[in-house]
Amino acid sequence: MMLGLFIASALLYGAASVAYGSERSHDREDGREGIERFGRLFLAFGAALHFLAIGVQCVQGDHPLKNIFLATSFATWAAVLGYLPLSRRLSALGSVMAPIGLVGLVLGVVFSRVGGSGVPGATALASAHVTLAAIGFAGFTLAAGVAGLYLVVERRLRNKVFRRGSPGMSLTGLDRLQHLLVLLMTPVFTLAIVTGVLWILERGGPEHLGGRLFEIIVGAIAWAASAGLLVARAVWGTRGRRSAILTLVSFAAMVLIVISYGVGA
Amino acid sequence: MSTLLAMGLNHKSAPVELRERFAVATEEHGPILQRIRERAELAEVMVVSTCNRVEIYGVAKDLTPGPRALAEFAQLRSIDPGLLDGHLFVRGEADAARHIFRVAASLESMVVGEPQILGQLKDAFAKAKEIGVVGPILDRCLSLAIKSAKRVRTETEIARGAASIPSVAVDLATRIFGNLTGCTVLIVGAGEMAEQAAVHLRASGATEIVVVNRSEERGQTLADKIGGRYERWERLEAQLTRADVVVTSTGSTLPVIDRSTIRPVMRARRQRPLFFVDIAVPRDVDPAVGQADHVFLYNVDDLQSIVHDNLRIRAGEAERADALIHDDVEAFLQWMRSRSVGPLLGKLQHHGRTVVDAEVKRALKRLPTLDEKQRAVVEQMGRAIMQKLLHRPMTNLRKAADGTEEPPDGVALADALATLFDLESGMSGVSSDERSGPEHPAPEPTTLPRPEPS
Repeated sequence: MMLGLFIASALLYGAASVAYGSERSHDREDGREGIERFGRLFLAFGAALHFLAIGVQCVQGDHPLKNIFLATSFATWAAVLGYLPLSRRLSALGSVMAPIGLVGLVLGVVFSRVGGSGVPGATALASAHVTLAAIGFAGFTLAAGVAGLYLVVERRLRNKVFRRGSPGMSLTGLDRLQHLLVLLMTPVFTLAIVTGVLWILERGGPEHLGGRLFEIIVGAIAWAASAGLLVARAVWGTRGRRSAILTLVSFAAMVLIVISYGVGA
Repeated sequence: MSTLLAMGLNHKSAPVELRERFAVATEEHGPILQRIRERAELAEVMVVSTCNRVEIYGVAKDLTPGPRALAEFAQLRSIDPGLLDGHLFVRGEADAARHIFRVAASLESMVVGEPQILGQLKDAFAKAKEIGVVGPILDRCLSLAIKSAKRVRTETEIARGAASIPSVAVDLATRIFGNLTGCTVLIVGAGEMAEQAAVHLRASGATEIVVVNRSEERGQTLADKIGGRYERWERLEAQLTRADVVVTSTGSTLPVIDRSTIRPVMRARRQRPLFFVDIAVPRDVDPAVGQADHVFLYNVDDLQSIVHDNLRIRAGEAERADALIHDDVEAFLQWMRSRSVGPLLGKLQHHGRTVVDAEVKRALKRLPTLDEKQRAVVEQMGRAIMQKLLHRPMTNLRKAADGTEEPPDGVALADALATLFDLESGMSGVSSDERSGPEHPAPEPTTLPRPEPS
């Protein structure tokens, strides 16, 4: 059953990636014909099957907090789920979200056993850390997608590359949405860092922190970027391109942490 | 057969000076339509009057009432027929139907794909129905044309993309700010194009419009005209800090807004985006301003190039739209053909029944010994023979009239049938229920066009 769900979900995510990619690369003068119309549908069904796969894994004892791959799978599913209500107005973001869903699914299903039987020294603190980190990662994935889209749209407007058709969300709308996501996710991510540090201290004291130095430094960069973005917005009104770049920096740092955990596992 | 007519003048055939003389105000529809209908012997009639066209759509027994209707219309407007040479058109049958469908779909508009014409056509149709001058043919034609136009708008991109400089400016502003409600528009200079852009932006929801102009009198006049507020030239920088969209169209030979003006403005704006629409030539905004963060600067060439692209794409889409319309026009013409044989078939059946009844009556007189049951059998036999004899010719005539089969031509067949059976063919004249009082023959026009054969 798991194999069937995985294949079907992967195929749907793949089809959604192709559909959204095709829509983006399409010159709208030719009209929107063929597969690109179905991107949203493929993505929704892909996410539904992805959710079922996560459910089956939970039944088998592989819950999202068990290891980094399962947590990443859950986070990317959450990001895709968060994107779906916005997909009509942010169709361009689909070409990012669909591959992200596929990568999360593959990590969660294919590599879940590689990650070992569970979080070492799993405690309530560890569970809280992984949960918060997964939610934060999902939120920042979405925020990074919106930020990327902002940069693309802004560049087009400044270069006077004027695409026909429905403009989707306005530049100001994208900026606000990105800011809102960062505003909501930064506290979650902060708590994830705090619980992570406490968990390390709980496991072996301050000397253990040295073993996680890379994650701690990159985590600090991610946090500084997101918190700095919020402060700069409040104090100087920083928005637009600078804000989008800071969001992307924060997200990139989070991806490095995930990769580092994955390599460590 | 009833003939559909489309006639009048439009932006392709006549200059505005002539079109405006023919223009029909809403309250004039009743008297004008009634008079044209009576004088030109039209069974059904309606008039569409917009800034780009004044066209009459009607139904008559043939094409000849077309020029008469136009002559009557010209007489009503006291227009010298000599002025109309080459400016009027009359189309009949399939050409008329195609024209009406194309008008509804905005393929005949000056700006192909513009949305207003469909609403105007609907209003004209509703008005004619209210007056009571629309019959089954115009009703069917306009209903199908409106449906077809909606299909064209949905299935093609003919209506996509702004087609004028002010509407492109609005489109761009929407891409930057989303809903323009709450946006402030600053008009720098009092040019006509800036006025048009302001009107478009206001219609799209812009809340506040501020006019800054060197001449207070002209600035104030423009502000009053567009429902805005005038500010003195010295207040330009302060207004730039507040505005979201700035439309510039001064007559200045040097830029009135440069990098040094914009730097403090953007600082004060706390990096809120600012959209410049510079439609002045020479340009009012130094191109270097466009390099500043959060500033979007479009000059008249940028906007014109977008308009050109959109119009080019619309023209391409017009071909697809035409193909869609072709199918709908064919469906309408098929309906026209099939409805026209109905009365003839009725007459043929009536003729058959009359003959059978007479012959059965005569036969029964010679067979007085038959009982009731036997008489009924004879009567039944007579009717059955008639039905079987007429069934195939009637079916074939219907198919030929539908145009669903290859020749023979339905009209020729119907005429042949009418001649052979000595019936009045329903395909060569307007049925009595579709016609109304052609009591007053109208004078033959001397300067009006001949009908264009379909």
